[in-house]
Amino acid sequence: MLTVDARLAKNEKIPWRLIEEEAILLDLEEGEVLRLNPVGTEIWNAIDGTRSEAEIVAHICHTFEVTHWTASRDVHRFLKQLLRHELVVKDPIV
Amino acid sequence: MGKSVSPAIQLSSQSRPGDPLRREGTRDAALVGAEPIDNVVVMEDHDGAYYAWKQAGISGRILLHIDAHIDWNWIADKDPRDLLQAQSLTQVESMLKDRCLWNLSDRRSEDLVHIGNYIYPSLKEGIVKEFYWIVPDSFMESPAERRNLVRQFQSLKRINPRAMKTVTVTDHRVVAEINNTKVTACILSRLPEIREPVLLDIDTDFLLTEPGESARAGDDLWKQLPWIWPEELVHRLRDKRVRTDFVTIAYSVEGGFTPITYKYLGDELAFRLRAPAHPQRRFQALAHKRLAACHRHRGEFGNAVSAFEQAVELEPEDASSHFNLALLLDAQGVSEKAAVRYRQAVQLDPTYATMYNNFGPIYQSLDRLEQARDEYQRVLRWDPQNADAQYGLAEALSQEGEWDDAISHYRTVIALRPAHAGAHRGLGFALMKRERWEEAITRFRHCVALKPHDGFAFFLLGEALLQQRRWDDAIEAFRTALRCGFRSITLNRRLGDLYLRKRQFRKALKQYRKGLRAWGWRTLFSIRERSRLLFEKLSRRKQPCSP
Repeated sequence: MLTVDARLAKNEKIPWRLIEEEAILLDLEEGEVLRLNPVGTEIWNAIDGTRSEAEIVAHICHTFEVTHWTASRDVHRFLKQLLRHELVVKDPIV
Repeated sequence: MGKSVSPAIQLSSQSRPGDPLRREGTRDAALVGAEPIDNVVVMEDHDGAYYAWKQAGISGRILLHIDAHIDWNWIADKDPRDLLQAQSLTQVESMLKDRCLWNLSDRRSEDLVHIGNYIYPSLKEGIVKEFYWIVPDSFMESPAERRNLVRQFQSLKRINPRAMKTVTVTDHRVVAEINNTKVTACILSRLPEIREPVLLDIDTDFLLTEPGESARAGDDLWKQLPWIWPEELVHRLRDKRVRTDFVTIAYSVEGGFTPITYKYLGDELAFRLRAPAHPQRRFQALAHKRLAACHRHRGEFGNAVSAFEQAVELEPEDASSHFNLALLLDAQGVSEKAAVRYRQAVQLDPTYATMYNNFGPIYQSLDRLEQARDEYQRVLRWDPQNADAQYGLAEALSQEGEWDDAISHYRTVIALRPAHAGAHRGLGFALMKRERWEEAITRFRHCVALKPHDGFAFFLLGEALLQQRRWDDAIEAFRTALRCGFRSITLNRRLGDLYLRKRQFRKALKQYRKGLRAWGWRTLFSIRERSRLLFEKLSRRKQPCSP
């Protein structure tokens, strides 16, 4: 279960790089190469192990000038996907 | 008997790995068929040749690969992390065009090499600098056969057009260029003169027509004769003035390429190459075996038995003669004596107890189930505890829909070999057909515990769970099947239906779309049919309300 105050960090086992401002991720468990769009890339960049979902939503609202409702819906959905694919981990030990 | 070298290699070589003279092959090179060759390595699986070359420190050599199969294919061994070194997204896209060459599953490189592709790493690592594939004469006999050969090269080119730019057919040779390495397929008589010592790599299946092909042509597989005997092959190589210091020979019985009755031809080749002037006794034994095979081919079983018995007198420790005698005696209805011979063969060489010591798997693959059953039953007459034959029989019975008999044989296999994942899966499938869902689920769970990447087992597990209305568990099983690489229209449809049931419409749509993409019209028709049935059902429900 993903809650708004949960802190997320990138899975260290996932190799990735920013190319032309888009994140390219290698999901070697699933055998997939993932290319994130600009919004996805911004969320991916914001996942740093210290920010909660609510903070990421605020960051997206500010960057893309969208309503809070839209941002929270999209960010939540995206984070759930990342969690399901184990690309990010919840509540990392800092 | 030759040593099996895959993957652990044992060499009889005197030289040290990495020795420069060894690498060039100049010091020990011998004229094939005229001078003795010190390094002859015999193995079951042909990829052992790659490990043998590596261990001997060989590099930069011409390979003479005498085989009914090319044994070269692209390996998805590119490190996906290289994708992250791209300078632009366009470059990433361009790199991903060769999608099947990237090792996205992150498997270790040694796990990617097998009997069908071991020449690829040999080329890539510089062990081989030029590669001649000597094909059986029949491959060039007719235009249709030649076209088949060209097609093999073209399909390799399609996978990686950047690395394999040209395929040309000239003067009964098919020539391709792979990353500046020349690959030539031709028959032995068209082999150009090679002035330097080669790596000689022979598959015993080169000497015989593939059993599956012979069965399709309606031939009696037990009466087959080689199209060329080792003696003639060695003579032809000598006439071509082929020189070598390193020979690898594969039996290739496992997988059904070389019939087990002719496994000894691999040993014969090794004897003839190691010592062209071999001992008279051995020569006589080989002559008797050849004569016996000719008698068997003509249906003269009595003469064949006598000839093999003479071979046994000369070489009582030779498992192949005992095994051939077992078959002949069984054909004559002397089952007990046949069983004794079989047991002797297995005692002398346990590899004769393989699942490929009969043609059951070949007949089964051709859907000739009665013949397959006869094959398995013969082995079981000799050795009722033979788990492979029990399993083969269970599979054949299952294919015929004889579920209860299949269940009983699967249970026997599991009793004999509890870790037989295939038997657990087969038993689960047969139990499913009998609608014993819970038992089937238990069996599938056993199977995936033993073989965690068996996508088909996960799919079947999902089917059984679906019948038990355990929707979440079924979704999990189907998703795992997908992760294991199992692809089927039914799987996408089942997942689509399950997501629909859980009102996860986007996910359902995604699965239907995937199914459509993979299978096109079949899915569309299936969806249309389902919606039509649903419509009819709803219309019927509405009827009582209508005036």
